[in-house]
Amino acid sequence: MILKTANLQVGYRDVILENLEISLELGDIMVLTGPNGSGKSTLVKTLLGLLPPLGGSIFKSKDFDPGYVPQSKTIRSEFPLTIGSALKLQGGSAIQEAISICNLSGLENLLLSQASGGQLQRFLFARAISYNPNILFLDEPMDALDKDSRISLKDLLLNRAKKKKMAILLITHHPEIDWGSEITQTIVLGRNP
Amino acid sequence: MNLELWSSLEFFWPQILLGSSFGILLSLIGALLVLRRQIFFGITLSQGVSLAVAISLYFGYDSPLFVPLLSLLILLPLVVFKKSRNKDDEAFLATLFLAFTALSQFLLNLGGNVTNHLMAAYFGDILTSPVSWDMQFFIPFLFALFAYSVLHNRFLSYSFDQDFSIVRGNNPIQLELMYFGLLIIFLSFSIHMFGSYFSMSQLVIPCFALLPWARSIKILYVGTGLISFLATILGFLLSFQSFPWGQEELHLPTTSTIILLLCFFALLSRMLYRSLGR
Repeated sequence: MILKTANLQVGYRDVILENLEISLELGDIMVLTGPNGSGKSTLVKTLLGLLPPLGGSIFKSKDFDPGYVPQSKTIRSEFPLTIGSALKLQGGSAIQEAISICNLSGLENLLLSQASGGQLQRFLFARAISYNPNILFLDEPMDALDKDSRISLKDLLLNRAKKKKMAILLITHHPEIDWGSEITQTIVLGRNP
Repeated sequence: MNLELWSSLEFFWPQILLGSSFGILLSLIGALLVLRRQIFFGITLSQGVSLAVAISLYFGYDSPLFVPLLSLLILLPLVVFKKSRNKDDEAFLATLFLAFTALSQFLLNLGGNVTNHLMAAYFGDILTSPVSWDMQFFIPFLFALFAYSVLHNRFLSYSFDQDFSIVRGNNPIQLELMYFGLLIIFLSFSIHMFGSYFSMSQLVIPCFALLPWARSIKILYVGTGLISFLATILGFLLSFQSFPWGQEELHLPTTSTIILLLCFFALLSRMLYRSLGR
């Protein structure tokens, strides 16, 4: 078990989600879906340690090595950094492999402030996988992508999960994409009253 | 070069050398502050350092280490408090800014040695700065400079995407304390010698001028350093000249001339950028 929660409560000051029992093994793919404001991002931030849990407990295994693909609006794209220099600044040891997997070859000199939504999303994905994490958290990674790119990202994720035996926790607004039998768990969160 | 200018250069070279060096240094460190959109916080810290300068003058502690240590004592809890609030509260910063100013003014009102020095700390003319070559001053300063250059990439990475940096195992409070701690140390040396307005302007304006043009961090740093250096040197040279003003001769105040040149460069740079339709 790489990640497990017991009776978890998440939120900022008020509890948004409670009694959450999540368990992820290496190779698992979990999809979190639900309307805006249902607490999906809050849950992921809590699991990553960016927010303290309001109750319950989170167990992380000793080899818990997370990768995080946030929404593209969270990075400061006004920094004068190119895709290449930002990867050099924040990436792990497998930057070249990540560039090639994410189809960023030739875009290393593109300024982040001039990158399209899809290019930014691919940069964020490359940055996360350059560390070869064993659990990947993705917060709505499909939002800035067209349908074809969503399908190719899905394939990329599934291959990566299989090849590296990586667990994935994915927040998505696009349940219409067919994930097939690869998904091990789907959690649908309701709107917070 | 006329005789007046030459003799001034000869007499004021320590102020020119240290003023331009501190200007460049603050402009480089300030670039990160501007990129982080924490300019007002930096300005509030500067005002807090001015209070520490006033306190040191009032009590007559003129050790070079007293102001940095007192500044850290006053301001590091503020850094922790601000981080724990996890939001930029401008009204709170404005309140602190005014409180620091009022407290400094309060000490000014008590008179004594503080009056002249504190006026100098705020509006002070860089030419009249008592430049110290004391090793007691330079050793901690060089240590802080070394620490900043070693930690620079971690500060930059954290500023670019805080959440990602935390997920990768960095401690946000530790990084905030180290960055602002070093900033406070540099500010305290600079404000003690050259006054708060000189320091604040070097912190903010060069990066503001260059940011739209920058295509890399390196270009941004070279550009901000260059603008700071040009404005400081030109400010000195202009203030050494006398200009006829009615029946009298006018000498421009050096610090204000440097600040106005920085503002002029910033305005020019921004207008040029817009006129080129970028």
